[in-house]
Amino acid sequence: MKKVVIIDCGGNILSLRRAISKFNFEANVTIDHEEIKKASHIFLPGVGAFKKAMGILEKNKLINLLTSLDFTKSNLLGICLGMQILLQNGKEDGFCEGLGLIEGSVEKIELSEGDKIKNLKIPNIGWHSLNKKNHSWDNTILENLKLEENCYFVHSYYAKLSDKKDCLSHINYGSLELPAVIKKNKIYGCQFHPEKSGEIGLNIIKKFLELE
Amino acid sequence: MRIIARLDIKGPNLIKGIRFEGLRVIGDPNKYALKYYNQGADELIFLDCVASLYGRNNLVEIIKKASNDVFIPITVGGGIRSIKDAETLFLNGADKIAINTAAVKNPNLINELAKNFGSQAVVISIQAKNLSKKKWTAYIEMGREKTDKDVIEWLDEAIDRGAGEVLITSVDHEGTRNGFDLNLYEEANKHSKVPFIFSGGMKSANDLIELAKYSECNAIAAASILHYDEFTIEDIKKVGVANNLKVRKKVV
Repeated sequence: MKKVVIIDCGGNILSLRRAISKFNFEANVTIDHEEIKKASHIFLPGVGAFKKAMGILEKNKLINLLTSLDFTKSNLLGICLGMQILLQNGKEDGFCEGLGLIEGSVEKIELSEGDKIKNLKIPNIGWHSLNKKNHSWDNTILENLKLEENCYFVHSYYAKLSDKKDCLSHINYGSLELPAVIKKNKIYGCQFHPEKSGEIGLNIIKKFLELE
Repeated sequence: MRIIARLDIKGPNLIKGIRFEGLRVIGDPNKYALKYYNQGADELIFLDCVASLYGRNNLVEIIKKASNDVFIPITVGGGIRSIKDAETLFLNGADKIAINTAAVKNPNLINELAKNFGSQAVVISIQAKNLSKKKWTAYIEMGREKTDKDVIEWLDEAIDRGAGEVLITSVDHEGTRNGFDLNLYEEANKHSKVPFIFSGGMKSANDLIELAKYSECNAIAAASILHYDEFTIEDIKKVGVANNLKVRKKVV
């Protein structure tokens, strides 16, 4: 039986809860260790600062818990900042260790002069289509997603991955290629907000909930 | 380019004025919010017009209901004066908050809000009235009260203090459906290092093409032409697509 939890690291989780309930699941917002260990599907949303989110996890002794879970069994979806803290560290406001579940670091988006002339700005706020490189999206949360469909992004930092294989999808932001969805075993990270990306985003949440 | 629907709220109603005056009741804000979501709006902005007089309960109820039906970003503004005000709105469905009056009176509020909630959640809302050729004065209290702040200087300051996005509304053009204040667009866009939503006076979908002559616009917010059923979001986006502007299309 599927058990869905949301670990709250700050931000609006109301929409995420509403989105999950649309698919007839009830998500428990929790920091309880036993509940998280028993969960089949863990949502890790986050908005704001890397250090603050890691601080909340540390305060609730969740760092050790999350890094000890078996991600060939438990499914995890990190959203926005929740995706970024999956990496080894973040360079926002100095340096901060992340969960280290996926190799790489979180760095500031730097626009080229050419990008600035095209009126691109930081933060990247807007809708972008998800691109595919060599990976198949079958049996992933992006299964059946059409290439022209857009998701909503709002971020100033991006995931700089050590292994390109961990990038399931990227977006083009001016001259830059920024990871949109990262994956390792049953750990997923979405840089965009699926709960704010209309029907397309809702389908991605549905696909995540359908994973065994 | 984001096409955003702006909903001005008074008590439980969606309302609309001209140059922020002569407010007329349009209808149920949630009904219109859902309509615009289904038409393909990229975001919604709810602005409470008379926050101080009516308290905030109506606005919270409207946002809560909106976040039940509508899965796109929601920005909420009007009478936000403190961290607590902002927190209440975030807990009830707001993704971003927009501040104007309180920020002008206490600019440090921008720093505080950005520190607490992140820059990307803080929108500085500037209501700009034309003073002379390339000068605009900032207005507060939903376009009712004049300040002595120069809009461009204020925009620069607000961004330095941590505002992650700018919403500029032309006081002279808003509600008139006479077209955008293109000079204001050009000046503000030159200075805005962060994404910038332009609003006030949209007459038709062709106004997007006017803006594109200057630069690829980050976002526009429309109110009257949507509320009075002159154009749908789809109509506006069709023109965007036809002119190779980067708009989010519905994929069939």
